[in-house]
Amino acid sequence: MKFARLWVLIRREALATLRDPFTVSILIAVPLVALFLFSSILSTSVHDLPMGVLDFDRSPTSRRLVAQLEATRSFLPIALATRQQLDQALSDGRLSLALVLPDGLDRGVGKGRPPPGDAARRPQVQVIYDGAETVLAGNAEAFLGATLAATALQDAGVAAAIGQASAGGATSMQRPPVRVLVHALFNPTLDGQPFMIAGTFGFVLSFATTLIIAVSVVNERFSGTFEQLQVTPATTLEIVLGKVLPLSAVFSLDVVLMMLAAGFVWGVWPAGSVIFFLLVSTFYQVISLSLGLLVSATSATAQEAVAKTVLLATPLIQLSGFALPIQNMAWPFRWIAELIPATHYIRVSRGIYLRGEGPLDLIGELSVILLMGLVLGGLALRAVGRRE
Amino acid sequence: MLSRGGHRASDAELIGGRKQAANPMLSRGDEMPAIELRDLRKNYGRRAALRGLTLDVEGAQILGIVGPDGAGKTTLLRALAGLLEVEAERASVLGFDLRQDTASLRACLGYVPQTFGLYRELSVAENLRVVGRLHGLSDAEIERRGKALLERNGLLPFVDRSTGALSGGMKQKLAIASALLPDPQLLILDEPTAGVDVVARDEIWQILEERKAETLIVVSTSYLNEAAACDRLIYLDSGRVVASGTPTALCAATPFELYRAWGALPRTIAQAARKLPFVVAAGATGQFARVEVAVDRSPGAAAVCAALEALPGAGVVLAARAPLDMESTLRALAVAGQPPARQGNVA
Repeated sequence: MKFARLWVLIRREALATLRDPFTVSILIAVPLVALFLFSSILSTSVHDLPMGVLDFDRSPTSRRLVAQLEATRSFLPIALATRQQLDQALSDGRLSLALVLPDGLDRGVGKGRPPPGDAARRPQVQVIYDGAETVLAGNAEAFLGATLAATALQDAGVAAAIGQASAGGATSMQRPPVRVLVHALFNPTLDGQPFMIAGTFGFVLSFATTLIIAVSVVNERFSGTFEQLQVTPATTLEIVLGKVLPLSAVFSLDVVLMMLAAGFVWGVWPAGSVIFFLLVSTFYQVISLSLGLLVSATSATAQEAVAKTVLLATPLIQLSGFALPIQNMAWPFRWIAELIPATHYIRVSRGIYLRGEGPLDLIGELSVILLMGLVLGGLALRAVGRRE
Repeated sequence: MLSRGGHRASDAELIGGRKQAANPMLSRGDEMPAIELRDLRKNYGRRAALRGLTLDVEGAQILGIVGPDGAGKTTLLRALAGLLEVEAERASVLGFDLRQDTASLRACLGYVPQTFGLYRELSVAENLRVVGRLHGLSDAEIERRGKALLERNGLLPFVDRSTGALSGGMKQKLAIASALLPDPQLLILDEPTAGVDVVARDEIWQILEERKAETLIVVSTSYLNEAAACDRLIYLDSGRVVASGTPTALCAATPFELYRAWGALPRTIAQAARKLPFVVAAGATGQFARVEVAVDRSPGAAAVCAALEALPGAGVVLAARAPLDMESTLRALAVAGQPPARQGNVA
């Protein structure tokens, strides 16, 4: 090896790298963005979760309990009047969890009666959460359980001390004076598989679709076939649809294959309508394919399109709630997450798969997907059809 | 739209050059020019590719676009094909405005880009079928026209072959057949014979010659013989038309005289000739040296020949004046297109 030659090669590579704005921006921006993003979204802590409160006790103790939970800044209490309201809000996704405080809580906790060891007669605080949001539910359940126990223990301090003296041991001191009963809607066993499978549809349709259309169109532009089409009477819309529809059909078939695989291999079938899920998934491709077209319109080579798609899709998927609960993210990222199409598709997917929801239940998310599809589709058409 | 009467150019016009004559293409009759460009401009970011180009073309003919690399030839052709957003005082091709939607124009033209743009994974027949159907031709019409075109350019035996497996020349002939399939009024070709062997190049030009009676053919080329075969030439430099006219008229307007000097060592002759004060350029070509002399500095044919024959150590056996060829013409145009400081440096 000759160092002079090696030095020439090193200098050439350095110059070529530094003169390519795209590479330089990747080298500088990616580590910083990744650090910033992941430190903000990869958190298991719970904060500002909308929490429904159904307070049957309406006592100083129950109010203090809710106030103390609010003070932790982990939960945002929302007062509810009936159990029906609670179920509806959980089903709509407006609440992540709910707390049911029973009548007699004040008597049971405040007075230290009946004795903590009498499990059957201790007041039962119910925690109900959306089991479809498995990761979030797990985190919230553990946190809320610990907070409730600590708060109740604090309230029952005097009575517990009496209990300790009479029972003569530490065991009764550590036992909370209330029973926390945890109940999950939709996915009672908190099985993570349906949660991840329903989210994987979003991952595949967001990432693979965008990547394939972007690379395909860039290759066509690079090989000259796209320009050849542009000098025929075919309109931009026709050219784009001619490109997109066959791919869309293939991806729709992919969705069916994934559903069959999930059903036969893991036993996870949609709780809701299969046809509805297929229709939403097919329309969602409009968004991913549009993003792919936008990437292709700004890329000179297939490699650049691949790099852009990966760089674009990875953080977007991380922010979409595919693997990490959006409610756990810092507030700017929760807002950003709402702007990401995959966030809404994954919610719909989980809604249909885990909660068996229909079009009316998901009308809000469906409206957002429709709007995003129209906007991105229009932008993609404009970008692809624009003459140089 | 296109008349069959051919071009009306009778003289050459050096724009910004040494000779100014009436632009022959502006002498139009009642007919609208097939191409009418006024102050056509195209910028890629800050870089100006076309700087106020003005051009009128009437009638079916072969219009050659020549000029140095980076002159704007491809940009002009892509603009004429409606592929670019352009600015202009007027930009009309076949009566369609290039500044508006060019979908209607595209139905009337055939375009052969510099790089092969058909689908490599499809067969010859399948590619023709795609193009024909996009132009609204019936399958029977595609079959009839396609067969005739493939027969003409010798591709009929390869009709089922994958396009990716064709040779470079075959690909170009297929690209031209594909562009001619919808029977366009305007055929635009960007260096169609670049990288093609001599035989295929001749075949391609025969096809263009046969077609020029009914189609306006606009072709860019860097080959001198192809430039000479055009009915009219446009010489571009730095995004401007430096000159336009028939090859004959452009040659006649070129302010050079061409001489040939024979001897055993043409390269030595050329080197010695460059030292003569009236010689603009000299180079070895086969058995003789080509010597270009500026008209305004020429002492006369007899004196030039005598000076060449008397070159010390060059061994010139015979020197004689020759008719000016396309090489000298284009060199003169290149000099005319350069800034004054660089003019005269062509060797």
